[in-house]
Order: sequence, then structure tokens, then C-alpha cells
Amino acid sequence: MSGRSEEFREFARDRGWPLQQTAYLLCGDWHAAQDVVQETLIKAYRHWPRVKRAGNPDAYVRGILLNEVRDRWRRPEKAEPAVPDASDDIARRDRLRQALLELPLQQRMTVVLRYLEDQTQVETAKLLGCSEGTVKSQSSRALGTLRTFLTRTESKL
Amino acid sequence: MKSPEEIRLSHDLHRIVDVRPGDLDIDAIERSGQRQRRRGLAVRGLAGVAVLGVAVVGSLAAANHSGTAGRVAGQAAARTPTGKAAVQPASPANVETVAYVEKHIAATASNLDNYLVKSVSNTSSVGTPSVEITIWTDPRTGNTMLQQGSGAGRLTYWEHDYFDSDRVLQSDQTQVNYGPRTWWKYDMQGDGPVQGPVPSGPVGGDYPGPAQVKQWLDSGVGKIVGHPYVDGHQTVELSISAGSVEVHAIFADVHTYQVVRSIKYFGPQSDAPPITANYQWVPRTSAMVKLVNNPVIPAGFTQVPVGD
Repeated sequence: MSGRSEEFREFARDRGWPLQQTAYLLCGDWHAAQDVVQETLIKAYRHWPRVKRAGNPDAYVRGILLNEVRDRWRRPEKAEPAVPDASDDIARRDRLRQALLELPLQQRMTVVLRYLEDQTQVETAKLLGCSEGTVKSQSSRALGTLRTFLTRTESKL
Repeated sequence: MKSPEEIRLSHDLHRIVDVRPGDLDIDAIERSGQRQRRRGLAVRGLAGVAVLGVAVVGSLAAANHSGTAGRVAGQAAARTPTGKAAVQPASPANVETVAYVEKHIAATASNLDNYLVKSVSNTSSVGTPSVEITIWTDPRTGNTMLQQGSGAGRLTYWEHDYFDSDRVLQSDQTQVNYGPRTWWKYDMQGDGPVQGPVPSGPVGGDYPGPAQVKQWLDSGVGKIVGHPYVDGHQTVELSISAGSVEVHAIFADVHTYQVVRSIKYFGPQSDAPPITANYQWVPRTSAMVKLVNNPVIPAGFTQVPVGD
């Protein structure tokens, strides 16, 4: 097995699942999330030397993933939010997932990077190619929208 | 420093994604990556040949010669000034025919035990507004949970169908009505023992499982009519017609062949609008499996006779 292959496989094994989690919250659908991650990893494989040269393969590949999601979101049909209506915690989290899908893509990416991946404001700004101030305002707006949505559906964050 | 609200949000997001739907196929990813990389190299290689061809043709023309190499390279250059146009898109590994698609849809339908199926459909009746119905099915048990309406009209209904030891079909039904805060339970029996062998596997369920898919495919002649995106999936759309009348449309994911949408048409003789059902293949979390298979009566709700 070549060096590229071994390194790539180790990376994909290690990072595949966290990337899927991020993609899921951005797409709202596990199938779409797997598709996005597969496309992301295929691109990473093709350009593996460049990915490595970038110094932080994780950040580089996450950047590919965000672009992949942006690409799909521009296509005419978007994933529709799912609507389970159970009477417990599952339902509340599902409402949160729906609310997340209602957010504009940039705000959704900000929320996922900040609160799922625990990226700092600086890291998030770098990944999204915007200023720290924008990350702050996007987070604040997103939290406000999520709060309103959940309150409207008789639940609170 | 995160606020309590942010901490709660972070916790909830982690819980939402705490479901592993299946591992990535790293071998397949690597193979695709290798194929695409080779294709990329081939494009660059051809571009080089084309440039070289232009140079060779130029020099040969100047010398008034026309050797074989010049002709070949010259043709390549004429066809492909940039080199890119000479590269045909990779032909698909499998030719997508109706038979191929139907075979894969049927094969996939027989292998769904790792999922719960959520279908969202509309009711179809003339003169009354359509109502959205969500049905969760556990393919392993055939049990279903139906959810409909909101506010005072909201209800949840569970059904468990099975054959008892006397070969009689039993249907255990439970419904919770959120408006009047009531619930009822009804155990319905079939008229008598089933004729012939008892069907194997779970009974009941409303989802594109093997029986449903077979029924669709057997209902007419299939035709591939497009590849639209449905709920984030690129799909192959199969139209099924009996005679000249379209009776069903099935949309299956082009990668997994799981059916993600079906449309049932009632034909020109009926005024009834078509019924569209969208399907999601949801990982089997223990919480959802429990919820689909076990009726939950909210505290304080009163049991009433069936139908109330």
C-alpha cells in the first residue's frame, strides 16, 4: 500500500465520523451527509499532497466539506426538514434540528462549527472566510432565531 | 466562556448526532479518488499531446511533409485545442436500464432491517382538504406509529399486526387524542384462519418494503423519465404505466436505490388528487425503536371506548 494510501486511510478512519456529524447538522439528512463526506474525502484523496502541505489536514478537509455543502445548497431542491412529533426529549431535539435547517446556511455553519465542533471564534472565522465580528453577530442572530423557533413550538433551549 | 444557553445548545447538538448510521466505505472512496486522479492526469497528458501536436503540425507544414505522426497529432490538435475536449466523460460502470433500476430497487427493499422508515404523505379525497400524515415503520416488526394533525386535532396511533398461533390475523391498535386528552385501545381480529401459508416475516407496515415495491413494479410498465433531486437525494425517477395511464412514480436514490418518494395516481376516471409519500431511512436509535413499537400514553389522559 502506498504512503498516500496509508495516510489517507488513517485520516478517513479517524475523521470520517466527525465529518459526517457536521455534515448531518448542515444537511439535515444522513444520506446527504454521507454523500457530502464521501465527495469531500474523494477530493481530499485526489489532492492529498496539497492537503498535507497545508499543515492542518483537518482544517483543510473541513473547508472542502463546507464548500461541498454550499454547492449542494445552491442546487434547486433542498433537503426538507423532518418532522417527528414524539412527546419527549427526542421531539425537542428534533425541533432543534428543524430549526437549524431553517437558518441561513452561513449562520448554520457558524452554529455547527462553534457548538458541535467547539471551534473558537477565531478558528470559525478562518474556516468561513469572514471576520470574528461576523462570527459573533452570526452566532448571536442564530441563537436568537433558534430561541424564537423553539419557544414558538412550546419548548425552550 | 459559553452561556448556559450555549452549553445546552452544544449538548443538544452532540445528542442529535449521537447516532452512527453506518461506516464510510473507505475502499470505495479511495478507488473513486484514484479513478478521478487518473482521469485528471489523463486530461493533463492529452493537453500536452495537443500542444505538442500543434508544434509538430506547424513544423511539418513548414517543411511540407505529412507523416503519420503529424497526421495523428494534427487530428488531435484540431479536435482538441485545449486538450480537454478530447476526454470523454467516464462511461458509467453500469448502463442504467429500467430492468437494472427495478432490480436494484427490489434488492434494496429486501435489505432494510438496519433502518426505521419515516413516510410523510398526504391524504387524497375529493372535496376535503388534504392532511399530512407521518408514519414510522419498523421493518423488523412491521409495527407502525402514525402521527397526524396539530393542536386539538393532533393524534398518534400505533398498530401491531401479526398472525396468532391459530393463523388468525390480529391487529392491536392504540390511539392517543391530544385535544380531548383521551386514548383508546382496540384489539381487532381477522374473520378466521388465513387460507394457505401464513406470510413469513412481519405483517403490516406502510413503507417501500419488498411487498410494496413488488406491487408497484408489477402494476405496469416502467420507464425512466429523469433524475431529479428529491429531499437532497439525486434520484432516478421511474414512471409506471398500465396501458397509457401512469399509475405510479417512484423516485429512488441513484447511489443506494432506496425509494425516497412515491406518487400514486388515480387515473383520468377519478377526481382524486395523487398521493405523494416521501420516505426517510432513519438509523435505528433505541429511543425511536422503542417509541415506534410501544404506545406511549401521556400522563393524565383518560381511556375511552374505541372511536370516541
